[in-house]
Amino acid sequence: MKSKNIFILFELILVCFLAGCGKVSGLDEQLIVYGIGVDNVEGMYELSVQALDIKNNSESSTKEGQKTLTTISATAPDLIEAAKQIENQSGKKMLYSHAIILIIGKETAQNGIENIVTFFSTNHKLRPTVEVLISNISAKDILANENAENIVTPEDLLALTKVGKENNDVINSNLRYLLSDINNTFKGEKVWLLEYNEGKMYCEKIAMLKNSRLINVLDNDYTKGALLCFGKSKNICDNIEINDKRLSYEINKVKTNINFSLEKDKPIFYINTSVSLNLYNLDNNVSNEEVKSLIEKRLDNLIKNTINFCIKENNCDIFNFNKHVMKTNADFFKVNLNQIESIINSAEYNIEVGTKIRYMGPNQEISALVY
Amino acid sequence: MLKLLKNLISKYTLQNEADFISHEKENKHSLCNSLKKNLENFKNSFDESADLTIRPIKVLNTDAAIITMEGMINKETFATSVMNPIVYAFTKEILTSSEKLEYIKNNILTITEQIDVETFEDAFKLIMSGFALLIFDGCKKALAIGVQGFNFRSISEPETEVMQKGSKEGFVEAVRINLTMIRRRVKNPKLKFEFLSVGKTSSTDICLCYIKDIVSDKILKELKKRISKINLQNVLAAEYLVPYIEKKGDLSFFSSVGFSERPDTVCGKIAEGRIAILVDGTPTALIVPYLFIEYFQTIDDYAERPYFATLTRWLKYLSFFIATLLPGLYVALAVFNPEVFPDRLISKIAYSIAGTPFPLMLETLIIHFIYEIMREAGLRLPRPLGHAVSIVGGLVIGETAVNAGLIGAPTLMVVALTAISSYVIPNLYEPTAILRLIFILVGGILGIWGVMLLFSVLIVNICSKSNFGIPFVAPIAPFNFYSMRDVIMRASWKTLSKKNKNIQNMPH
Amino acid sequence: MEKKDIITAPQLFSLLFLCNIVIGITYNLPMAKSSNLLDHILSAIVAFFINILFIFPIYKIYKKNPSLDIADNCIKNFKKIGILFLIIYGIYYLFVCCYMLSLFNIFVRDVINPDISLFMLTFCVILASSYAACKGIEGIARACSIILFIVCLAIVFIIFTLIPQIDFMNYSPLLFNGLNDFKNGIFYLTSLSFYLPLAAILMPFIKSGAKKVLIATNLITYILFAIVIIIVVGALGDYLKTQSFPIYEATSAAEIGVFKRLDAIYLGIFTSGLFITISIFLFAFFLVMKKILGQKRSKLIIFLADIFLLIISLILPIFKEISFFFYDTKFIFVFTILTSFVLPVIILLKHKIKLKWREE
Repeated sequence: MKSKNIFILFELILVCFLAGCGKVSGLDEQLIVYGIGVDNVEGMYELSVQALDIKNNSESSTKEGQKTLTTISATAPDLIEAAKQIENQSGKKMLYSHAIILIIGKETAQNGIENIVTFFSTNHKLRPTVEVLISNISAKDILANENAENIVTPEDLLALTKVGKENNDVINSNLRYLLSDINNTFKGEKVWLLEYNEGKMYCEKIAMLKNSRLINVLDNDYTKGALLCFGKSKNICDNIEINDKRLSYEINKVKTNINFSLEKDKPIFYINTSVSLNLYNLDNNVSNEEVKSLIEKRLDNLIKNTINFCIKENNCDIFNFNKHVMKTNADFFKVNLNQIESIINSAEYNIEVGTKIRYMGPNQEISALVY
Repeated sequence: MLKLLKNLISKYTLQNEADFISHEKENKHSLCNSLKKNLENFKNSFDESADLTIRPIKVLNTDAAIITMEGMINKETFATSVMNPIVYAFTKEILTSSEKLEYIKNNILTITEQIDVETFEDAFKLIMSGFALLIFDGCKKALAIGVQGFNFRSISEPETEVMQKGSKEGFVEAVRINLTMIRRRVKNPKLKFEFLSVGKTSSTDICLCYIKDIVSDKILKELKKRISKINLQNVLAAEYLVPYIEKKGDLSFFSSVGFSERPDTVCGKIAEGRIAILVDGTPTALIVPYLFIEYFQTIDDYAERPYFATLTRWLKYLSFFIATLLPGLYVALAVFNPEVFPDRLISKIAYSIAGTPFPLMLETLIIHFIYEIMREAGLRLPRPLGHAVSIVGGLVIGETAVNAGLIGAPTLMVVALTAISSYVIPNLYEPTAILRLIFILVGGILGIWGVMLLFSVLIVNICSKSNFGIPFVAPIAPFNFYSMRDVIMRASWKTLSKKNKNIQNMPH
Repeated sequence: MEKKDIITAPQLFSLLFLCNIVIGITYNLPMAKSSNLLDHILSAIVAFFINILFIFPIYKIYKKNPSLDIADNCIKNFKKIGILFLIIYGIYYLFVCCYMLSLFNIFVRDVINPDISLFMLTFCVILASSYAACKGIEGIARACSIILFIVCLAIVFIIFTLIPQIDFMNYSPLLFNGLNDFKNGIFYLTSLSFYLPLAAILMPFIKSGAKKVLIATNLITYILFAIVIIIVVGALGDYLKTQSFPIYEATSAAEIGVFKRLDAIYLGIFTSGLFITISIFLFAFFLVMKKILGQKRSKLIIFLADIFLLIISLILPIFKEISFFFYDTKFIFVFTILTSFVLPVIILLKHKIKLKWREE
């Protein structure tokens, strides 16, 4: 019994001495990164991080819930060296666990984002739900934000992308989904484009990537068409002109079914979209059927133009049409694996749009009977 | 060689035990015929102690003496019911000394408790228990008359088990008073009290209380066997007996012997087949066997509505986990896995850690030790100084230390929450106090891995514990679905009264 | 020690099921030599039936004499040759401990990469598991039922947080890449049926209900496996192809409200489940060693086994040549088949031949 006690005591002491707590760095010795930016400067990576500034905090700011942030940058031939330089500059080890945003400059994105995305995804601490954005200016300028009145925090930037949460869910430009898209050779990637214009930030357009390189940006109309095609969007605002009057509508709910069929060896995609929307400022002189058909035509054009732009002009399948082909006709897909891109390019797209309109405004009856 | 040594040691131990038992029987000395010699023996044994009172009297024309201990008897009862009748006793018959003793016992004295005594040891014990001893010259027997009248604390609410509803009575130090409190509540002739004596020097009375029809004979027999092996010199508190009653080699933090100062709690436990042990001089009753889940059950639970009682039960479970795990988890996550914290919380924790000179684990340990010191000081402190401690504790240590940047506010918050949670289950305070320190150490060294590993080891430690053949974690493991009516929730009395839940019927 | 009625049938079920859960959460595609995880649902169905076949001889041996475990049966039927069988079983139980611990080390070192010493972490796991193994089957079984309850709650919680993230486009048609993934999945799943040889040695500890325990473990394991695969594939899609521990990645992607990273739950499940798994396999190893070496010498073997475990589990991830062999599905498959089917069949046949000789 005594020897057992001695043995247990010895083991406990051994455990204490073997403790690796010498290597452990506390939170104050780590740089808590909230935003990451990557640019290409003269063929080298410029890594910028927006991190918590513990040194310059004040008691009042912590009580009010405000964080003091600082931006640190470093340039190096590869990202790992750039990260090391930042650690040397700040004297702290980088902690990516609370990073919520990864901004890649437009020029950098045009050279390819796969290396950048893969590098950050290998860090276990980084959340796979980090939002990846492409900015029209350098990422460093967005994070440092010297021209703006107030420093723009990553939370503010994230909020921009979350406008109408379901919009963002559809685009899925976080790290995990991006990696998933990159691994799918036939699918194009899509992320939100962060625009900085005259001191204001916008996040209204989609950046289109193929083989992880930025090839084009969808403008406002194409973006709307893309959101309609994805089929889960919300809060899309648009307008039509009727009798020289502008009618605005807001789309509440979209549901899209995409089906693929081979008719006489010709690939056809059937896209059925049903939309629920709120219509504003409708005059009593205009008939509801006329308005409805105009809106449906407008939506139809939006989708068609977007598909033409993405598939036909840029050869980039951001809608995952190849997966529909695979699911519907696996044999056909396997046989034509090498030509799937051209098949999708040459396919016919039959678009059908159905709408449910709710007429808003003081002159209109607000009830279910107006449908 | 080692084996030979071990065999020798075990033989020697057995030999000693056998000798001890035979010595016990041999050591009792009988009273002798001569009153003078008996009185001399008393005086020598007590070494002329100031509280020994020997009053020589003449009873029925025979020399006799009454021996009492100062302050142990009720003088009024002694005078009116003992001295008066026996001094004026009269009989026409010619009787021997023994017959006179019998005559006094059966015809003169009106006191109900009268015990025949034949040995000096029994006489000493009875005198020191508040009996008056009547010895006749020429008689080998003495008569112990129950005239106890020693002072004891009045019945009051126990401070350690405060209940909102239910009785406000608590046990007192005198074991016989405690017996009456139990008897009043369980008016069952099968309720049995069995007196034993422990402590070679103190000869402390202990009383086993159980209900004959309900108790397990196997458990009772085992308990008596363990009590007989107690080799303490003095038994001054009930807690002295706990290591002997528990299973041999039990190194667990948690005790499988329950404590209670409330007679209603004890009655409830006895009714389930348990045995209560009352120790003279301690207002605490020991209850065996005791289950882990019973630490979370109180009398108030059964006095409240079922839904509220279920809520408070779950609050207790949660409090136990908070009291044990929270500081360790906090240290582990803050040091090794800060990604778990929400974004806004991490900045506050980072600021507080940056502003303090100590690593987080050390800071947490320091605050805990300061809290424990304050708690101990508060327990021993005279009441007038209590305010000073609360001022020192609250203002100086709490606010000033945080403002000075010696300790962080989140850490202090965690420790405060832990402390409050630990008072929800006061009976578990001791094990949780030790365990949380260990969890802090392990969390600071091994992170979440260490905390989970230690938690699993703790579960195994508790689960492998049993006493008197009943698993400590019954009815959770082995699982008994029907018993969950009083574990997961507190079912209504209609449900609880449907089936008896005697302790020996627990799955094992 | 009298074996009968020490633990209940549900406790045995919880032991076997928890071992399967821990093995399941370390499931990964590179070791299964597959690219499509969804095909493994079909593999699971086939593996279920194969396991039913394996259960048959083990259960039959138990039924002949419920108070004897597989080790007792080896000695009883084969005398000295039975010791060789015992050694095989002992090595198997130790192998499973090494396998699980080394996977744990790989996970900690390569995925988590914490600041703590891996040596110390492994040492503490082994120490804790040895303690539990020394406490005996009662303590482990009771603790297992409590830990399993917590683990199941955690799994259900994670499943419910992942369900909103399911995208039906992530599902590709079954057997899209042919039968390779399906076949490899069967091999891999069958080779991971470590619970069968474990059940063979633990069944005498229960009073009754062994058949139900074995079938329930088999069925519920594969049902849970199929559900988890469906949810993980639906939530993560092609992202899985790049991840060594898909279940871990799924938990780190799960989020609910303010709480973003639920991988701490995975770490908790893995650690506590691993502790129980290694404890129970170490206990099985000690039982076998007691038969071979006797009660007293088996105490020394405890110490040696711990050292062996520590060394092997730390070395394996470093030396590719050894680990390639150690983690090879074929090797594990052969070893598992040997202990869960071949040896029990041989014992059963010997028993039948013995009975026939007696009758003659």
